[in-house]
Amino acid sequence: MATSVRRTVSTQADNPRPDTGRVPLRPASEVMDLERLGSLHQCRISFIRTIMRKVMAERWGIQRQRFDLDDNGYGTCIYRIASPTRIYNLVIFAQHLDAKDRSDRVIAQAWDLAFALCLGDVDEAYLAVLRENVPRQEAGRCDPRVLVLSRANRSLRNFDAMVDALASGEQPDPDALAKVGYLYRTTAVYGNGKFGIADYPRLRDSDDFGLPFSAQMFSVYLLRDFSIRQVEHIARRRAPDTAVGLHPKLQRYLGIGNSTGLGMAPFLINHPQLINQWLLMRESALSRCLGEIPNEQTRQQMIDLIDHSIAHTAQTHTDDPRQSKANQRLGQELADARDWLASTDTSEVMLWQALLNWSRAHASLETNELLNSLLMELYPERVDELEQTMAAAESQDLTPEMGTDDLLARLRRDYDWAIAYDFSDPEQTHLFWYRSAEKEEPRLGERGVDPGEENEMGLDIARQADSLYQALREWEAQQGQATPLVEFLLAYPRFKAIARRVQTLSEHAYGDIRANVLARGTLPIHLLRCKLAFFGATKFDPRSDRWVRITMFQGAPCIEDIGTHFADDWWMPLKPTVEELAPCTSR
Amino acid sequence: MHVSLNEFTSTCRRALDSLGFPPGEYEDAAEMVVWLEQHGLGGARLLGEILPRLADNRWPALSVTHTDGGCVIMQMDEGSILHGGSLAADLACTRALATGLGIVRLHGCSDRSFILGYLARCARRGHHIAAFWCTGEPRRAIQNVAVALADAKLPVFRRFRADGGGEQEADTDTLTLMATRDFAMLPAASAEHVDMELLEMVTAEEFEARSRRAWDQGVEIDATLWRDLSAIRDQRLVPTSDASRHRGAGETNPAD
Repeated sequence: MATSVRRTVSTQADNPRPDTGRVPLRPASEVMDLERLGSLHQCRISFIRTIMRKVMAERWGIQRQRFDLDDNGYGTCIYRIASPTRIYNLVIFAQHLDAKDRSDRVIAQAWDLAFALCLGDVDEAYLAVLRENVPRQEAGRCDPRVLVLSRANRSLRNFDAMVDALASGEQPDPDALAKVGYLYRTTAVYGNGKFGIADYPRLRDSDDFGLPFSAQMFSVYLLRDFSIRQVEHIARRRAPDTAVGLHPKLQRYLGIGNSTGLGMAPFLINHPQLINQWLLMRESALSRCLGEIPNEQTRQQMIDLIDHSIAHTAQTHTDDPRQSKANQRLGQELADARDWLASTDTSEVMLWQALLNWSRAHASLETNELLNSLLMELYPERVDELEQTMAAAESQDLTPEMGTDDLLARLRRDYDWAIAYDFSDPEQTHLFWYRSAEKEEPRLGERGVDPGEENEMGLDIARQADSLYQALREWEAQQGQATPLVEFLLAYPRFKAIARRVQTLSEHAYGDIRANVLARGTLPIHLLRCKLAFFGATKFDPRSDRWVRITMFQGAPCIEDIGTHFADDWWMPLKPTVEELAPCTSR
Repeated sequence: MHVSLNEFTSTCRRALDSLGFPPGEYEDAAEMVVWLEQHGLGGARLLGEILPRLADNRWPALSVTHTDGGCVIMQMDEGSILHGGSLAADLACTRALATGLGIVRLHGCSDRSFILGYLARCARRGHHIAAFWCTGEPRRAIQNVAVALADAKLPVFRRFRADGGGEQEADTDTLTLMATRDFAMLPAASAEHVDMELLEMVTAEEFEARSRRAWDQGVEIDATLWRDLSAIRDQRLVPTSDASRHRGAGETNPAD
């Protein structure tokens, strides 16, 4: 038996690591806790913040080139987009949808509208191809000219009420928009080669959409404008003599919704290097900001931000009891944080770290993480550049020469949380993940109760790590010594995936979520919220423990605002007041 | 049928998973298939030819029959190189690090051209590695040589008629892998050797161009193969039910 050879392969070139300043990064044991990840809020380097900064700074030209809608708002709309480097077109098909067919679930077969972001101009021939395929979504086929494919459904609560109000010359009720801040909810936004569209590497080196999910977020941003123009159009067609346009303040207050189920959960587990990169950038931003020395001005800015967040949180509505309670607590704890910050005599040098420690000791995870996001708002010059390194290569390579003893040591060091579970306890394996035959939707089953256990998805990283640990110990006992890993894998190839993952992620501390996702009581919604926070979502509105609605771009500049002053302070908008909604006469 | 590389990769992975490839192996095997297609060497067509027999293998599919320091002889039981052949390359690399030169002779395997994609991965990890295999009809042997140098993104591939006259017996089920730590000799094979007729050479630059084209335009896959792969992939889908919709997915008032 050959002896093992110690060797380290670095992947830093594909996974850049920034300077983090004088304050150490938070440990993975803290950051990668599932409940904490499920308490994240958006921050300056969330994707919709990044794309808005880019569009505004580069003054992208966006025109509604075609707006062929009938009296009911059904038809075709094309937005032509000129970035500094390329031309794109967003093609939207709006159609009638029977109420019985309207579902936010991925298993739906029809939607109120479907849209595609395309590279280059769209002529009539290509438009016909798109019309044939885009409304069919998963059942259609597209080509690499399509960068993003998506669909959306109307919010029944808002759409008709807004048309009625505008048609009668009134503005819609801001309270209703505070409760549900959008007219449409997207239910899937596809990129990266799905159904024949362009692979992400085609965009990776693009100046416009090279960063993760930027093309998808931009498409959603344009949908928001369409939703406004569509309701205005329907109102005008219905009552040409009385209809008014939506007040500019309400246009900015209107976002776009999204409804997300378990389909998002496997992504987080199957892309550990990308998740590591997102969290590494966020933690690096936090670390840089904690290292900044505050003064009276920044202290007051932070107090103002907290006050603003309190007001925003008070206007955040959800029917979910757990989230509602969390929001109430968030508001109270933010007020406590504001009072602490206003009254503390902690020296200025240590103030931000003291605030972090105060929130760790006295506040919920929601409050911890919102304060962290707010702190990043104070130092854009230290944070915003990190958005450029949010992408990462997802390539797990085996290091076959690594000794089994070395791998065992890494398991003890990095996966102690996994080995600590007792997987002989049925409570720890209560759940299993499977793909449904309905559009391959990932779902959760109860072991021994639901069918499909034999086709369980391999999302059980904790259990796999524990199994590898036990198997390696037995192997070394059998062999009487450590061996190169490849010798072990030749005998037990079923451990290849987890062995490679452990090796790879020992250089990526924020790659694995530290939770057993099979345990009874696991809340998959935490996984969804983590990813949605990185997208830039706000107003988390859980519909169950495995399905959530959120709002995006609420408060963002409208396309008419491009080219005007941009303060990048839109992300926690407050409901416009009656005074602000002075009679609007635009027709 | 036009598909994106990501679609092709995902479908291959899940189909091979359905066929019983262990975790890690199904990803590597899929990547080897896609690599060959992406770089213009017919990975999809070859997969289509062998798909019916990929399900029949037992795991582990490789066994070591002889080992002597840097030299290892391994046996497959009439399997495909996709059945864990990547571990043979890993073993060659490991022995090279331990002894300076690692040579693995793998007998009893077919579809050996798939190893090209894994050589690229070995090179990415910092290994110099070459693969040799013989194809063709009896007495009309063609030698296939692929060389990947450490940290190079892509290998160089050559096909020779070794004796110029086609008198060599073809050894059509053996793959030889040679890895080394300090290798200046691997690229020494020259197309100008008098006894060798160079039939084909694909440089790293040409592979790069083919790869870029595939990323930009996707690839064309035979519709029957796509249907077969999709059907195999879907064997792991769980039939739906009301309980699955409501409890499994957490559905509540989806149209509200």
